[in-house]
Amino acid sequence: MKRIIVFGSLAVFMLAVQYAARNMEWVSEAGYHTLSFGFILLAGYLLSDIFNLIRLPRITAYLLAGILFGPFGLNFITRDSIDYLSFIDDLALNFIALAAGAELQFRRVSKQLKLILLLILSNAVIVFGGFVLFMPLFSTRIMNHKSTAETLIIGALCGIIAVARSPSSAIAIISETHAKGRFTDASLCVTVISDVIVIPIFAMAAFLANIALVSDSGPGSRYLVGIMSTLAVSVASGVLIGWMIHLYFRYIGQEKIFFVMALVLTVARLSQLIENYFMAGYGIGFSLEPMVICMTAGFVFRNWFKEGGTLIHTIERSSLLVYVLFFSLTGAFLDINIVRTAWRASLVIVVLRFLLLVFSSYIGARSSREPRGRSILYGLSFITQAGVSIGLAKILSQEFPGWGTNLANIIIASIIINQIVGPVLMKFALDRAGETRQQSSECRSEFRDYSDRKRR
Amino acid sequence: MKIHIIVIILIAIAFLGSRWSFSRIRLPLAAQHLYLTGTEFILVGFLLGPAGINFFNPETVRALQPLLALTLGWIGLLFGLQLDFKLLKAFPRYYVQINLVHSFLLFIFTLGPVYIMMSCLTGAGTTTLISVSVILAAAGSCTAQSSLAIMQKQLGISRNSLMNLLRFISSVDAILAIPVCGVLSCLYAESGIRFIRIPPAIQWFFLSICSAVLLALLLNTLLKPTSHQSEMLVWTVGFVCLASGLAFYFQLSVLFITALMGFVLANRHHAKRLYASTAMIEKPVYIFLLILAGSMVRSISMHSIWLSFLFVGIRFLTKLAGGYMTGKLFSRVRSIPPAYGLGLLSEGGISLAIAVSYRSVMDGPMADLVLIIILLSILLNEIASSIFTPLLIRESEKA
Repeated sequence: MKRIIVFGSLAVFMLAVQYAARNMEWVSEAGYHTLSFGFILLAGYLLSDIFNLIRLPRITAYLLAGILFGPFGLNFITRDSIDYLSFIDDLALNFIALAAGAELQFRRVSKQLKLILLLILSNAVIVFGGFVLFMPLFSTRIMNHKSTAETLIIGALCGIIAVARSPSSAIAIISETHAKGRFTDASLCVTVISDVIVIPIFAMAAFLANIALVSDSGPGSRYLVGIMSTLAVSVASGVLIGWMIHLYFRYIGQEKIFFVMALVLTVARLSQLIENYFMAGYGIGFSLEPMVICMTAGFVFRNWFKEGGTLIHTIERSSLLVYVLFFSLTGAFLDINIVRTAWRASLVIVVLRFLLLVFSSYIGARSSREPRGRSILYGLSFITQAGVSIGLAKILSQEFPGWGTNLANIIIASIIINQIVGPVLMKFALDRAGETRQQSSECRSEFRDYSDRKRR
Repeated sequence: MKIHIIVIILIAIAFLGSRWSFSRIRLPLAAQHLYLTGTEFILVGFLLGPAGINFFNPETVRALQPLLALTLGWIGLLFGLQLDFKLLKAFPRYYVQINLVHSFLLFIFTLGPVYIMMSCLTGAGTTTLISVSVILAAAGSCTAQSSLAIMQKQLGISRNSLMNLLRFISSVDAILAIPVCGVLSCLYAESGIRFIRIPPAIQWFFLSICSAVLLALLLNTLLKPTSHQSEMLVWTVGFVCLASGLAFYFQLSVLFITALMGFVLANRHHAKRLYASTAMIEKPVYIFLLILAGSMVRSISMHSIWLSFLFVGIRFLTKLAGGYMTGKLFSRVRSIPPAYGLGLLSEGGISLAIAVSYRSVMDGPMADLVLIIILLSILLNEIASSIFTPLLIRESEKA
């Protein structure tokens, strides 16, 4: 109850501030950025506390707080403030990528390599195939007067985007629920790998689609080579960064959290500087992918060096602040108007993707002889979608103006829905798999009660 | 892009500096004192700023204002959290009385001469002159806490009644300066809320107090004895941002609002834990402020240097006079050396925060001048205090 009162009081406080500012001749913009930063942090966390009471994931609350108070809601967090706070986006995204990499322990993952590979393969084939087959149903709405071949190609592009997940959401939920176990490892691993491999595959598909649909104005093979070299150099840089983290943790070992934060922000900024340098100096569209760098660095540090385990503890110490800010700002950034305009088509895509993911995961998990009950849960943990998917949808809009823009809007609307519904489903799946702390402690107490009764 | 790199560099210097500074190295006494109090970071900021290599140009400094607001808010909150009635009651009552009288006298004694100095040597308009003089007098009446703590260690004194009194005064003597800044910021408010027919200054003063109390009570409601440290951090950062952002937005005093917030919280249930978690990053925050303050200096003219020397002279004399008069007033209660004001020469965190806060709200040559005067005064007073305070303490030990 206290939380609800404080939440309401803060909202009234912000309304009062906005009202008072109307009469002022001059107010400080910088002051408002600080004010919105504080407000979104508090509102996001307060709402998450309320959500926690009804067993909903915290990140859904952060996102909803962002949507509610962002520029498309009550506008307490203005567009300018979001732009100013954009560095938090870079910092948090790469921070989470580092955490995701560090969570992947090769020793644990290798034990269920078959399951992971089968899940990735079945997801990729069935989701991709499903979209290719079902997309012609949308052809009248999105792609007027396109031939069957062209519709299939567009369906393939959508299918690839549908395979992409949100490692940041997955890692945030795993961190929130303190989930640990086979199911958690497999889900995270599949999420991370799918998100990485989807980038070159999409580049390849976009390249082919360009040849087939707009042959004369396509980005050409240089585009494809650019993407592949980006990934290769990013992975190599990640190995180097992982080694640097090792050196710092081993020989200095102080203010680790500050070092990690500064490092991920530096990686993000340097990647941008390198991209600008190549574009301005040589006209080459070469860039580095900071998330891939950080993910690789986390993985390398965790698996190659003795101090690997300490990285997770270091990250966990400040992860709460990062998650609240990142997901609340992500929520504020989501243009809810897109959902309003394209909700019907996007709902169909959401449902189609959901069914295909659950079905394909079930097939993949069963092929690896996972129990039936658990096999159905894998698909539920793969619903979240965010960064990469939005990025790919935007590329679609840029590369194919016209129908590409319409399709991108529908896809973005479906991503927004998935981003809100996905965490709830993932938490449910982790709970049902008995791998969250809450759940496992409940299981333990049930077991204790049972054994007590038996002893008596 | 550049701003993010600057933030990384600033945070790096602040955190690494907090590790390496404030610890002993072999240097001459005055230089060691400057190093131990972290004053060298003013020079770092100055060298990085427009007067140095121009890495922090005025635009980037302006872009760093939200971070500056947070820093000032943090310092204000920390000050307010020290004003715990239970804790203050643990000290002899005359400590509090001496502190109040001393702060008041010092402020009044400094205000007059500073006003005359500024009106004769700068030629600014009356309104600006009043605000500048009040800010300088308020900043001048504050004493650095860390300096005396370091000196106590250096001199190896564990129990000395004079040192105890000096440390007490230095920790709470901004009790007058901060509200004065709060009132001043309200007086300069041009317009108030439309439907309320009260003078804008009163409106804003009332709103400052109400906001600070409301935010403090809301924060207190959220704190639990079982709160995890990361949760405490979220609440504290959130509320400090809210309070300092509000102050910055309406050009009110960040220090006043957050100090008042701290004061309310200090007298509630979770004060100790809150203070502990806030004080954890006190050093990096202070270094951050020192660097930013140094980088805000655009240029230093001979004129500003002379004014700084004059200000240091005035402050020195008023500290002596204020100390002497307070000593006389309390001679029945306790014998205090007449020159005890010499032990309170050191100037630091709060003075700097007052000057930076003023400079960030009032952009102009006079605000620049105030900042330069305070910065140079901090440097000169650190050197002076490293000479006079040990003399005073040794004399009191002999007595």
